[in-house]
Amino acid sequence: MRNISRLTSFGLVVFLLFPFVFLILKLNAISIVDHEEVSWALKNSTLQAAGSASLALILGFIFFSGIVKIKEILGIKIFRWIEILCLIPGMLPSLFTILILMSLIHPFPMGLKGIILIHGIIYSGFIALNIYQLVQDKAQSLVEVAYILGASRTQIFVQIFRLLKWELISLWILIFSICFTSFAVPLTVGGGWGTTLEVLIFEKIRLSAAWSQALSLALLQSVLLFLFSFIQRPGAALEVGRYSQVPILGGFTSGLLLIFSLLAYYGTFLLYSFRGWTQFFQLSEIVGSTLQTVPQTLIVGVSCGAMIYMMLNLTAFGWKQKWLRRFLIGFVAPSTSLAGLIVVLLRPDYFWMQIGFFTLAFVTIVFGGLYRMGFDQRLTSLKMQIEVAQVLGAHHWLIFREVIWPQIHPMAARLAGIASLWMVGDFALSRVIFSQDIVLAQVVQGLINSYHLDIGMAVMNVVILIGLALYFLFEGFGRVFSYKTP
Amino acid sequence: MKHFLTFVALVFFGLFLALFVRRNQNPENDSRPTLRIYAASSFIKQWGPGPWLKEKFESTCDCVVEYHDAADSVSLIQRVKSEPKNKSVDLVLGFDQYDLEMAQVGLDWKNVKVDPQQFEEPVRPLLSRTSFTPYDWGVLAFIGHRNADKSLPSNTDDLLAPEYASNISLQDPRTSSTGLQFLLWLIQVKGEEKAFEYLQKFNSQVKAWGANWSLAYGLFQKDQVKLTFSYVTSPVASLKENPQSDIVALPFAEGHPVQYEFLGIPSTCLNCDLAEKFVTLMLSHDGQRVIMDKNYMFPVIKSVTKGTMFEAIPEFKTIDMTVIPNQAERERILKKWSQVRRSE
Amino acid sequence: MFASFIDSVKYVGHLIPVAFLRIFLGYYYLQQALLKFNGDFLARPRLAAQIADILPSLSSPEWYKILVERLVIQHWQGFAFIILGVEFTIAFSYLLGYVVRPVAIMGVVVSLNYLILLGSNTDDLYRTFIAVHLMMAWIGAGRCLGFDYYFFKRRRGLWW
Repeated sequence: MRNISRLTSFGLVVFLLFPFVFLILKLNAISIVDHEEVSWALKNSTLQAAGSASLALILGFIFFSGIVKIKEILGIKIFRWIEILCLIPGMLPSLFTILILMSLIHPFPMGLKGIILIHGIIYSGFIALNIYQLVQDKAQSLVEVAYILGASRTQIFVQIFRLLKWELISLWILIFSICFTSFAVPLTVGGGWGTTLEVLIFEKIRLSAAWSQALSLALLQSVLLFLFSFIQRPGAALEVGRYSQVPILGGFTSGLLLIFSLLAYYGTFLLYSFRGWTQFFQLSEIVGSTLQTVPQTLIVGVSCGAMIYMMLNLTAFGWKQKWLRRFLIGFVAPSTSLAGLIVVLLRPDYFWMQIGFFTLAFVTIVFGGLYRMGFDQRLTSLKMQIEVAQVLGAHHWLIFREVIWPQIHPMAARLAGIASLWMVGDFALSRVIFSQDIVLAQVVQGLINSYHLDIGMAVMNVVILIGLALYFLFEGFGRVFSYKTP
Repeated sequence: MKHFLTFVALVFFGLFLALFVRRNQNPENDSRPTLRIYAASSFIKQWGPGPWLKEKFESTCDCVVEYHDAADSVSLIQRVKSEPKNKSVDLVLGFDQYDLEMAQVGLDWKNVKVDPQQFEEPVRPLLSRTSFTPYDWGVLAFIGHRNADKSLPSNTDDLLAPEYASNISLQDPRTSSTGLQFLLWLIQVKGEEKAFEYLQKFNSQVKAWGANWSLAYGLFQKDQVKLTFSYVTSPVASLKENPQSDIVALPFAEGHPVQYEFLGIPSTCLNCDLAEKFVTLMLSHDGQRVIMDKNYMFPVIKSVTKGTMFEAIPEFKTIDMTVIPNQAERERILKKWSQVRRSE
Repeated sequence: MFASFIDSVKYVGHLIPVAFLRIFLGYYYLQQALLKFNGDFLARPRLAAQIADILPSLSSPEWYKILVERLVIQHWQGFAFIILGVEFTIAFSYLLGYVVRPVAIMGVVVSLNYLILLGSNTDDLYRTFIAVHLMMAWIGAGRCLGFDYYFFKRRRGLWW
């Protein structure tokens, strides 16, 4: 059993590293890029990513307080909706978010501030949800005890920060790595700060087809982020606590701020898309395209989610392999542009081959990020339980089945749902892999690129609905098939 | 009720799946020859000219037209080079004049026989210079809103006026073909040194250098900027959606850059005759009309614009685009441009 | 659930003849549905053309004619898909004996529409179908040799 665990872990690593290995072998060379260009791009990437992660964390804390208050006042149903609305900005195309925020914030600050603002707002909701989950999993007792001992809200927050320091650093690093590899936002609003490593990679491929230079930049990007991940440490252990006192962390102002921000963001989006709906039904070709791609999008979404769920479980199965954990914390997938090259070289021609390729490529790109989204922390927090089970003589499979899986399954299912939500909104990868319109995001992309921006925004509503349906499907799977207390 | 609705939903879903699987089964079951065309996605989308051309061609050729969407010109060229012999590409659409150099590296292309006399004057010289054939073209200009009170910019220096500070959107020349066109146009009309001096001042007028055309144009459509760099046919697209639209293309005294879109038949084509016939359809009056209407680009064939909204577009002075900087030269210019951006 | 399938013969055995009729009708619908699926029912507007021909001479209410003209004929492909889906639903429901009552009502509605729209040649057939569907719904034909018995035992009520 231990050998099977080692084998699966090794297989996982090979799968994730395959793109790099394949490209290095195929291209046969890695070329050096001009160091001035690289250092400038690296500086931009680092500064904007660090700023974005910091702002996202700060806003995330504020919105977390708002979420707690909303749950207390408005109840769990509204809270579930808030949860979903916080996740959606991450899946919308950059153009929409840029347009929405530019129309809400006048004058919009361009340059480094602009990049940080947009990224910070996009990921703040996601961070807020993660902090909420962390407090529920690890800090409920702390809050209760602190409250009983008469601590103020600020003091409790400080204690939470101390307790969950490493988890928050993990979250910071996660957003940092996502923003580090961002492309459209820095380029569009970044002004002179707009050239990131990702832009440089795209430039090398597009202008001079310098694939080996692009590959060297991608490797540099991945290695840097991998090294950065060594900062991380294991966080606090999971604990069983009571939610009853957590509401004291809720802030009325934060709640109002959160609701106002969501209303402003989605209100603007719906306003823009309203015009699009009136035009949508006038163009029968677009209606046909949209309907045609809906079942295909569902199939691709389900397959991506299922694969992520399976891989997370495989990772949990290989819990003994510490090197696997270290690798996954630091792993950053290659740029989408390079994924495009791999696709071109491997030539998936038939429809089902393309679906398979897309699933594999998308999973490779997002798996690292999803793993770092609390799954790693969850696994490490089970360490004590695993040790107890080992001492009592349980073998590997029994430990996985009875100790690990029941506790990671709901989270794995939820992360699979998030992966499906992201996949449905993916534009970059579907564009390079599919040679026809397979998923709805391609239809939206096509509309945006051909004078039909409003209709594109309208169809984006359908994309969001499908993404949410898939998210709920996986979340429901996580809840229904989990162990229930008798 | 729940059981009944679930049952009905399941049956319908199963039917959907069954139809979907049947539709996507291996097309090799069809014994007719397949014309494989690689094109830009805007061409083959349901609202582009591709579906009309496919239907029209399939009704007469006893063949199947298979479109393949290539994300961009570089992927297009890479795919053409790497396709196996039995799945060779028959026709490629969507190169612009800057892609032709890369397209000829490692690939041979057939000379397509066309009658130069049927082509528009500005396009004719291109026919003898390359084995690629243009199928549409566009003039690039700054687009703004018609203004009864003030005069609109009529040359590049007018763009430096304070009222346009942070009010222009453009495309980044490193990531967008239109952006590259802008930069090269500026160099051609002003000379390289003066062009870069101008860019130093012009940068403060630009709100955003979008990653692609849709980002820049989207900012303009949503009134985030007053001017954007796009095609002179963009106002036609706007008028079709909204007859009250006041969007106009601004004629500049210096002249305007032109973008041509080319097609090519690789020498490794399997169905070369079919490809040539398809080209004939594309270059026919009806074919050009559809391409013009759906692509919002000018036709290359004479008299196609008569009686259409495109006829009303005023004539724009275009600059001679015969001298196309090679790849190395373009890289040098873009490096210089990056340095200008770095000093912002 | 499968045990109930067999048990139903013991407890509602008097419905066996109806069950056979139900299965036979289910098989008939399945055949019709498969013929449509494998043919060009979804690709060509045969039904729409047929309806368009007969519409002027129909003696049905005006609102029905307008509805058919504006909705069914214009969006014939969507309706073709719905009709195919409904036929498969009836087929599987009758074959399995599951949710037979509500599906039988659905069958009545579909047969009624066919009766009005497909001309006098098929009048008798669809009248018979309407009668059979109504009988299926009334008797609860899914209880014998069907999965409805399992739910009928536990939940009772109008649906089973």
